[in-house]
Amino acid sequence: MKPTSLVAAAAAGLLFLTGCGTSDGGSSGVDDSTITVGFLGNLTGDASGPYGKPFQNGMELAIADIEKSGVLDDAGLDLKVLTEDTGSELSTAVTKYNGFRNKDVDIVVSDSISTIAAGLAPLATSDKVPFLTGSGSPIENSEGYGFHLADLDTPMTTLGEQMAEQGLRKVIAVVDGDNPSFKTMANSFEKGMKGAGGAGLIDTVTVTAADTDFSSLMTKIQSSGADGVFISLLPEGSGNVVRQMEQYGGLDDVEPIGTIAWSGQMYEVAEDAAVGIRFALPWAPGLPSSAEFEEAYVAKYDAEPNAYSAIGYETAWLIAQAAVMAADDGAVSAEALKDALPDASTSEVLAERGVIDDFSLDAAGDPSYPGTVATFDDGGQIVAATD
Amino acid sequence: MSALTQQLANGVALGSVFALYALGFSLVLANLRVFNLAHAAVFTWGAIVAWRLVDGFGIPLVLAIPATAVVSGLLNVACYLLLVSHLERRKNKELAGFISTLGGFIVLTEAALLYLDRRAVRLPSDSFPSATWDLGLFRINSIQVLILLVTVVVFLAYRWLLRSTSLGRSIRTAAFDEEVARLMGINARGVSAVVFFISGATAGLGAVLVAMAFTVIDGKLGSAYLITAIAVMVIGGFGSMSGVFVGGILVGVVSTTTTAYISSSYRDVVIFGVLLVFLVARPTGLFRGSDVEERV
Repeated sequence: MKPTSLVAAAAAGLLFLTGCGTSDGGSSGVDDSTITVGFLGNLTGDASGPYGKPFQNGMELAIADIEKSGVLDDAGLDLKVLTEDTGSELSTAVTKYNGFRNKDVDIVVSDSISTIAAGLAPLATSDKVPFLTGSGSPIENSEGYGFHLADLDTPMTTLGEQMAEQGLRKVIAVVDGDNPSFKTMANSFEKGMKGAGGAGLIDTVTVTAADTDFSSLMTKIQSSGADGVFISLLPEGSGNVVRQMEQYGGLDDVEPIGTIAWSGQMYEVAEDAAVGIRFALPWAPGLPSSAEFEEAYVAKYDAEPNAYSAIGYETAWLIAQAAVMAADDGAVSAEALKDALPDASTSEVLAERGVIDDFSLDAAGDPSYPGTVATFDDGGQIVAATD
Repeated sequence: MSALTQQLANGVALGSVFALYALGFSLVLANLRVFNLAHAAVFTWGAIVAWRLVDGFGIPLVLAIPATAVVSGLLNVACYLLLVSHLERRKNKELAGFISTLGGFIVLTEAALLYLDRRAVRLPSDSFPSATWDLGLFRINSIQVLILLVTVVVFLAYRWLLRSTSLGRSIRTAAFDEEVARLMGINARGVSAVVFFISGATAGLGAVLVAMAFTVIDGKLGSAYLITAIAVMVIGGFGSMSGVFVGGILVGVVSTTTTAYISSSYRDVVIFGVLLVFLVARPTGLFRGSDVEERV
């Protein structure tokens, strides 16, 4: 046999042995006691700053806490995370997902970006592998394998109610038209305002994520007589809007309001102009129940946690608890994990160890939690809004 | 004050930035017949230099602005020496120059992205005073005033330089015919380097103003304005200084009013719709730039 033929035959043999087909979702990649998590993180690209890195950091922090707590050891289980970078691109995410197929992962996790979640969920359903995403938009869940973990509706509705109760009547919204989740948040905010007797949104201005000149928006805000502007953009774009509001002048009486997607990055951009602006968060910053998480996060990553850090943290605990519950019921399989996830979300372990108060996940794959209203203090620290 | 007059004022300020960008670009194109794509990357680096000077070294913005103009001018001269000067004797020097400067654009843009670690940075908010004045028909803030002032001063300086100085005469002679210029004892290469310096310095000035007004500096800052600048030159008329100025203002007003009354998603569609109309109905642009006297 010629050397080239030999190499080709060896390669074909290896391909056969490693398996090119899809997983049947039945077993763990290492052994039954090891839960293999495939994490498709947006670790570079546009979504890295607001979603990918904070989510990964939150997960890492939780995994260290899970190991310390011994909950998996007590159940004879082990957690292994395989991480791949999507580059914030759906095509790369699909390629990396296909790589996970060959590694027989038990569960796939993705931080956020609605388009990536929408693209991966049908693949996971077809492979019968539970898929958890930090995305706010509902995903494919026809067979119960798709779960999204960001509840955009409840916290934004709560914020809308609170702003209306405090007297805001005419609010103009600026919405990122490139991402449907930002429109969802504006709708929920308006629902909350109307529910509390407010007029809702008097106008919605759609911008693109690439926009940097907001002078025409400032003129619109001024001429509309609005007393509030709901900024449903990524943290960096939101910071630009707030900073340009200050530069533009004459908008001191217009109160900016933010979304659950905001983070410390917003303060970095807007600086002191961000102090006192209210926005929603999944967890309650500064309260004893979350103080440990916040302190550990800042100590390890030298950055403030954001909503996706909290969701990442919650996700790892959710998977660990679902694995323990599945093991208690007999075996840890992909199907057992997806069946256990809703019950795990409301378990005592999650209530005690998780960072998001009253977190729950239903069998349809939708999350729910009330969230809290937060703001930036003078030093840029995220704290619970007190009024 | 009405919303429309205010939007028009916003458009004039934005258009002034477009005009500044296009002035430098057009200066090289009209006089040396080089489509210098590296101009976009020089613009980006101008903003980065200003950010480093102000945020990194604590230099006041009032000193950082001229320093940025000088550094950007020198960077553009380096682009000329490395990318263009050795191609001048080639028969197809325009195409070769285009390809060569495209390479320079890619290298400099990637270098900017790597330098910034693909993040956006910004000038500190306290690096310039913020004030607003109500002029009756519209309000104007301190940054918009600075943009308008710098653009008008640069425009007048270009006119004076090209029409009333011996350097301007040398530039116009070299633009008319390089061989004639050499026979007249003009150092055509030196004149070209000066043209590139002025063009780069103008890009640097525009970049600082953009960084101040729109509060974002990233590795693709210059690329974002490149296509718009080409539209400005076509609408204004290639080679016409007045055309670039008026074309910039027109595109700025179209951009702002589209964003205000339709959506920013349609802004480029409308701008390039206007460009197509000009290409069909008035291909020479608003101002005919064929006269060497008018070249920028």
